[in-house]
Amino acid sequence: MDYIYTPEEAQPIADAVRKFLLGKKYDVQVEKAITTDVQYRTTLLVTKDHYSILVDAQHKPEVDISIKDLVVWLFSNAQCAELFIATDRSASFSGKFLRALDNTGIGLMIVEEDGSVRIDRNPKNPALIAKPEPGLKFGNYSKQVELCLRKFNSPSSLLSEDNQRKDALRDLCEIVEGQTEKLSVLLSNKGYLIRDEGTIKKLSWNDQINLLASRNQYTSNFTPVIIESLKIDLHSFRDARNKLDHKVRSKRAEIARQQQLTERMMMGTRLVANLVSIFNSMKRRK
Amino acid sequence: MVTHSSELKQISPDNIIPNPENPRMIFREQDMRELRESIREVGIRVPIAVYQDAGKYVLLDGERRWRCAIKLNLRQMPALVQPKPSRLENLLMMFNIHNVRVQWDLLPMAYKLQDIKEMLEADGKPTLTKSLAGITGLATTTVKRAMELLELPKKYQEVLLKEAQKPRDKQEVTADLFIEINKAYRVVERYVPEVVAEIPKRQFVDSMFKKYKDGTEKNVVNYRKISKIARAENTGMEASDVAPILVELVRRRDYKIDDAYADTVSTAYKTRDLASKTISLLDTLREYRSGKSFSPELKQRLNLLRKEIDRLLGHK
Repeated sequence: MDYIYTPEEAQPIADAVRKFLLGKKYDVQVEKAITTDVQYRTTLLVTKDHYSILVDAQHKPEVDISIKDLVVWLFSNAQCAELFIATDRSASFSGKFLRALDNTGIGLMIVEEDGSVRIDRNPKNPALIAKPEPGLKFGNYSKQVELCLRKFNSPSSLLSEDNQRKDALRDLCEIVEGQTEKLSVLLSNKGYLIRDEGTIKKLSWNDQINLLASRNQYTSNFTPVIIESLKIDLHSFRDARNKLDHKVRSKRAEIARQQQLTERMMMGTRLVANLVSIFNSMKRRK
Repeated sequence: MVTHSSELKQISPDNIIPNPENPRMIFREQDMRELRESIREVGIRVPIAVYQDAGKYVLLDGERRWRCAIKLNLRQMPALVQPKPSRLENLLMMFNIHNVRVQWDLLPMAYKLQDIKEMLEADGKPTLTKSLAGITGLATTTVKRAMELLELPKKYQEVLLKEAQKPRDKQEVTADLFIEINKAYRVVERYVPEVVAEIPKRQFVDSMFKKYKDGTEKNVVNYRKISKIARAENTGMEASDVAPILVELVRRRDYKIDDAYADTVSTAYKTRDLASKTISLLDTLREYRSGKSFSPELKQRLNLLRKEIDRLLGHK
């Protein structure tokens, strides 16, 4: 492979990573900029459906100021991108370097002596980070939601198996499901719902959502606490959990799913906040 | 040299191509990183030099800046556009512009020197080492060392090119090793031709290279001792006395140069050194009319020396 700016020492590393990415059926571009206005070109670039994997091959790995600038640029432009530094087995890693990887969210690939490539550290993809909207209050669930978000936002890559994002979304689903039941039970105990606690607890999550949104299920003329749009969101969120384990058949579908996971996660935090807010206001009501 | 006027322009780095005649083929990571950081900080202060050819700009000067500009995805960079030079002018310009600033690796430089030599020969111009040094601005010794590498078998030239890709502190084999091995062979060839009759040059170079690679020899300067063995006649020995040891040195992989030296000329060289030191000491002593002004310490040492000389010469 002919390189222009990749130093000779780093070229065997670049060759090995290129082979690795080609093996994963990605189209790999060499020494291409992700966009015309970015201020740093990495050695390798994969782009597919607005998802990018950038790899900078380095013999003596360093998170220098130029690559830090690239990280800032990726974040500020909300690029859906994974950034890696790739190096070989002989490289030594200082504590400063490893801390810099953690702080910047850059991943680390290591080319082994036999030419195989190992993902040593997963990167953080700025566009796949789920951040709850400001002002959302999660009441007693604050800690649990925070844990879910931390798990969801922990470094991950399309290229590696160890991915906690689905688990985190599943955990958040359980919180929303639990809060739906808690709200139903509260309304039942307060006499707003026609069904008793025992019956409600036997209902599926799907039925509990429908119950809370159905006028017929309330005593007298009580307006359902869950309006139509919230009901749709709850069902859609529930549906997302069911689809988590569906196998995807293409890179494109995998990328779409990763982006969807982030949207669902954000949606989940909104739903927890909504349900907590309704629960608190109903609890105060006499 | 090209002396025509040039024009300052802002050019997209993507429209520039490297100069095919630039002998410096190795760009090291740390050097590039430092330059990149400087460009990032203050920009490109000195324009690169290019000439236009077939719709592209060909680099004359500033290849490292250009490579960094691409890495930093600069849209434009300042460039002095010069008229297209002839191939010889181009090559000489590469030497004159670059070699004063960045040290080229010796072997890539040697390839380009060879090109220059052939072009000069075709023009009927002198191609002696001195002429090549004069025209390229290199030191005569550098030209000599570079040209010597061209005599190496291809496989060793490849070894050197591969090693040159490593950072300098990680390079295990350098051009110096082969230059020392070559020198040693030349001296053996001249002073102990019977060795050369038995051992062809390729075998000699292979053996010496292996000794270095497997750690039998650790220092390239040690190869100079082979020349000293070959020049045994300087010590009063016969070339035929050392020939079998030199042959053994080539044939036996674990035979160290130091051991071969000790087995042949080591004592003879020491004796020669002693003779020369004795003459010098005698001359110094004769400069004094008496030893009255000598310190007690010096007198004690001279006494010790006398005793040692008496012992060696068997006097009581």
